[in-house]
Amino acid sequence: MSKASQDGLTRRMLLSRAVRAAAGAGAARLALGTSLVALGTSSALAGPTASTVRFLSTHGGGILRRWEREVLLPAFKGSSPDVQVEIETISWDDLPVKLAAYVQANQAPDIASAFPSLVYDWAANGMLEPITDWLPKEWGDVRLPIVTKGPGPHVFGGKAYFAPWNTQLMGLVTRKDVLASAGVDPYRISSVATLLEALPRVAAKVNGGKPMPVPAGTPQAFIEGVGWVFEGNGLDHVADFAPTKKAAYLEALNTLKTLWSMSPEDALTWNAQSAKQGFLQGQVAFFSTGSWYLTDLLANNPDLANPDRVTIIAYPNGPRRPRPHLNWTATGLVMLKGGKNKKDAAKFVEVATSPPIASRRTPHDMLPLRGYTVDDRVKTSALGEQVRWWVAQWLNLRNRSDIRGESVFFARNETLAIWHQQAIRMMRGQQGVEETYEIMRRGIEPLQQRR
Amino acid sequence: MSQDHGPVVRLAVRVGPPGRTLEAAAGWALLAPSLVVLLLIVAWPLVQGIRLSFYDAHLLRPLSLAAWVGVANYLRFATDPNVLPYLRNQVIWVVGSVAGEVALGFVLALILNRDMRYRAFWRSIALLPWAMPIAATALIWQWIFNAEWGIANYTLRQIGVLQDNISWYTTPWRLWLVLLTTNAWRHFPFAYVSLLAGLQAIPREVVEAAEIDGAGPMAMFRTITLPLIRPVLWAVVLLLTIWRMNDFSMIWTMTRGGPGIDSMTFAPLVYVTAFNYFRLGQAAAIGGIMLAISLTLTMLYLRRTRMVV
Repeated sequence: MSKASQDGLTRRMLLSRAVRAAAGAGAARLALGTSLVALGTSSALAGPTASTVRFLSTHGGGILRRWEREVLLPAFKGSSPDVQVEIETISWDDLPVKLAAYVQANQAPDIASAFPSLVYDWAANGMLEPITDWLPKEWGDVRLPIVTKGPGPHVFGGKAYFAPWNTQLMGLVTRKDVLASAGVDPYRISSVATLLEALPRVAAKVNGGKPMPVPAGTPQAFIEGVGWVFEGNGLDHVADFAPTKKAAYLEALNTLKTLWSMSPEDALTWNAQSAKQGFLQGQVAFFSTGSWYLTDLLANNPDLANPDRVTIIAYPNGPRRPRPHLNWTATGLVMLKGGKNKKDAAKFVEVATSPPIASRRTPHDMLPLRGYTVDDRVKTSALGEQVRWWVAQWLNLRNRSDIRGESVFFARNETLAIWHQQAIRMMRGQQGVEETYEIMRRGIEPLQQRR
Repeated sequence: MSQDHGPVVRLAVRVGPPGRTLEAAAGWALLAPSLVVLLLIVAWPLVQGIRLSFYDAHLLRPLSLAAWVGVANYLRFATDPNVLPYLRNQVIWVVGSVAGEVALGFVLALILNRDMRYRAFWRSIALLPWAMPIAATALIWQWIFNAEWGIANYTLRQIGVLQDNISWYTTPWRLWLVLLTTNAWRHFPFAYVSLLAGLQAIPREVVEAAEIDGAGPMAMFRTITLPLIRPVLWAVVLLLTIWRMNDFSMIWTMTRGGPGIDSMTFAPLVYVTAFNYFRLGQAAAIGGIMLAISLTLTMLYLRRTRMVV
């Protein structure tokens, strides 16, 4: 027998009431839904009708997430109110694997973040859609000649696969104050010979007496740290084993060996982050990096972020190249061949790379546009006047140096792994320069055959 | 029929053929859900993985385009100029790890098996490393051995062992010392718990009899403790060997197999080959070789445990 509840109702009565109430609510909801659909105003009950653009984004910190949320998405919503944007944010390190996994599973996003050296392998393997086929002609007219300077990494088989939203330059960020205390004028370091002449003097002024880092903790850090030695001696990149350039390659390997003798031993395990720390703490006086470094500098050691203490020099040239150089790189977007919504994705790319939107993305990068000036940058940068000296130095150097596109070659990771391993063996004295060249060539050359 | 087959078979013989069939059917029916799950989550991926190792599968290209290459992926690995360094690293890692874990675990088990004040507390403390996430452990030890700011260099300088800071990760023997020390600290509790249980199972009267006979501590250890704990020790060593064979997290978090390939063992190599070089087929082949070694060790373990139980 049921026990009466406190208000005198039995459990069975309560249950029966609950069932009736639920049925009533369901009927009311159904009736309301039907009438809303009939009126053509239902969205929630009839399901979403908007199309969706899926964007696999990479983060470089809160500043970019805020830009996506507060600048990019409202701007796109303004131009395409019916299109939803679904953003998945991952790290740059995870991007290649995650994107490949999505493509394999037939779940490719419509758009993904990228930089040029990634684009090369992706385009070669048929993962990407030629992006300029979907963008207005004016877009390419304005940007592509600036960013490519000839066939660039993202122009593959005559098609462009990459839409940059900024441009970045890479060179040697230098402790001007440390060099000054050693009586070295950083602006006189223009060739490898002048650098090697200056290093012993600078050595006396840094902790540990090793001022030039050769950060070899990861293949990527290594190439960013010393790839310029090879490009600065007439080679296209470290996978350039053209027989006619063998002497240039051997010279570059010898330079690398000499630089290693001026590098902290611990740099063998440094990644970009530890190289940055070494520079900030005065352990080394040079750091091969890009124009993006200002944000780190301001965040971690604002005292150093002034032109009296830090300056930038172009990568010194070896004997086979007439002038110092800067490397050009960029970040931007690619469209995936397997994406389901290319039309809206192209609209999104157009908005994201438009100057008023892209210029607010990071405080220090330059837009890939003709005639873009320091004043333009200061006006749109979240850091305002703080970026003037930094941007002015890079632009000044750009006008006085050769500019090289980012080094690109096939099977990038595997190539760099082989190169990295053999270069370390050479630096440790486990094998000679010629032997290193031959082992590298035998391992890397087959990888460069177009797959 | 051999008596090794146990009570189920003996029961079936008593019941007779029709009952046996019925009972077997019921057994299979009860096992079926587990078997299906096992087939789905173990056998199927395993078969797919082995199948993949015979294809030229590449992560950036559709798998449907992968061509059959026979044993080429296995041959490529076997003829890789780095195969010997990989094998050497694997041996150093497995042997060094197991030796370190067992030695530390055994010493602690012997100490904490004795009567002492707060024994329960000390026994719990000894388990703490096991509770630490591997990534956190690896990062902490990475800092301990940091050349510039690490406490290892600081302490060694303070006590006069070192004049200047040294770089722990750039010379192979120091690198392995750091990796194996970190690993032993993180993983010894398994050996410690198992061996402590083994020590507690040694009959008290045997120990007392030896004591009455005047056996000293070393003689007790050699003639009583070691022989009686050998089955447990053997199982611990085999299990740890199997686990370290396939271990990925510690090396990956601390060194990513570097510098160069100085600490690259098979498990990180599989990851790098699949997800950095995108060579899925090649990675599956290396995984296949690892599987074969692990299976051999597992069979050895099973035979041994069946022998000693």
